[in-house]
Amino acid sequence: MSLVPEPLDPPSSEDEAEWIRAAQAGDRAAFARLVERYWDRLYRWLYQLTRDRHSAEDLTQETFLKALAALSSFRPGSNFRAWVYKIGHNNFVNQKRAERRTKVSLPDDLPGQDGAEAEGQAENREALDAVNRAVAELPPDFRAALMLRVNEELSFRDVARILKTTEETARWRVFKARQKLLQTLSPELLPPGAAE
Amino acid sequence: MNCGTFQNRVLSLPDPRELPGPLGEHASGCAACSAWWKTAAKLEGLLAALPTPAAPAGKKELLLDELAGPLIRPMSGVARPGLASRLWAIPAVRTFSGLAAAVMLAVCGWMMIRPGPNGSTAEAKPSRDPFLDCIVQRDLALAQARTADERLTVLGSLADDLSTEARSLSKIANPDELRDLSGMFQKVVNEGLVEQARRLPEHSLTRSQKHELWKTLSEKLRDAGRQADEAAKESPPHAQPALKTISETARDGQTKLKAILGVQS
Repeated sequence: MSLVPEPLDPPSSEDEAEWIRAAQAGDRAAFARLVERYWDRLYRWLYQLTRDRHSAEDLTQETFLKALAALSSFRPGSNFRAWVYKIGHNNFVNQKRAERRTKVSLPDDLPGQDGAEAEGQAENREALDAVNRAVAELPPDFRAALMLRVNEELSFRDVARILKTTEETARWRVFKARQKLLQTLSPELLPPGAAE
Repeated sequence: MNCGTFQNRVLSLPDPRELPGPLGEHASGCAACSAWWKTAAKLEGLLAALPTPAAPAGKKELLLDELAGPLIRPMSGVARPGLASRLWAIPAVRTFSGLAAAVMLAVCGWMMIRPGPNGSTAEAKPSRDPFLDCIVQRDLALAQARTADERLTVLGSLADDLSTEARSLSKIANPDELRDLSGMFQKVVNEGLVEQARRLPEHSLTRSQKHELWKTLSEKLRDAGRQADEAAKESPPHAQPALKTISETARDGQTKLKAILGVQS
């Protein structure tokens, strides 16, 4: 039984492996292709973690600069996306440590440039707003795991690698995040008549 | 399978929208779990569709531009032997650390091609160049800077270096070199200091930290402007435009930084 709409484009790993090899050999255009491929996705995830688009953009830039500087240490054949996301998460954690005493920023206004499909209907817009608010209330570790799973469709093992935890903990965080969201949102998400 | 087990197992799935056989069977025979599952599936779809606001500062494009731009490579026949190699070895030049590094790159690039104070080249003057050493030190500091305010402080010092160099050369350098120096000063202030300050993440600094940063930068710019005015009084006419540019840029930079950092008088 499935309610999945459509599969996402599968990553073309052969192209990527070639770009990584070339980038490691000093080809900046090849690294630029990797930036093109992962920037928006990484930014989206980091936005979900920081809830601040300026911070998310800074962290994304920082992540790619560090990835470029450390490219020679990347082991060909391993998961480049997970490696980049791990750098991004380290940056996020470091930033959080540095800013622990500063006020947590409120979520930016959402002009809603992405997620266009869902914006067509007012009902979905309201639901998205509600989900967005509820996600913002999740603890960052839970939010990080959930959004890696949902947006990136990474395995629990890869989620665990990025977040430096065990596969079971990654799975548990995603479980608890979904459970919490459902508890918070059920009245707003349940289809008419289903609540009776 | 009871309903509690069903729900826990659905929440543990990689994607709750896809039910494996036994879970699907339970949902088919239990109206409450079927409705609950549809809600869980809807949530998963909404999570995937959550909007993300556009990145504010175009840093992706900036990085891609830098990656597409020409490398600073050791060139033969440039003014100072060994200089290009030294610059190429500087971490920030190699690793393209964003806007601040782009400004630094411009200064370094200019250092590579500029003639000596009297139009001479380094072949005629192979001794150490204190100004170059200064720039190299700033570049290293920039490469090590971890935060935007640290980068701003380095850029403030770089602006200071450039205005000092312009003042010290104001009586002996030719108009072109002075114009270049004042142009670099403008670049560092406008594209470096002001632009970096504008891009400081909103809550990255407390009000008092912003005030401290403003004080540091403002003092450097105030001194640069004042000393350029003083130097202009004793310099030949051809040096006046460059010193005036430095003075006006410094004052303008102070005003802009004050507004950007939200400092009260």
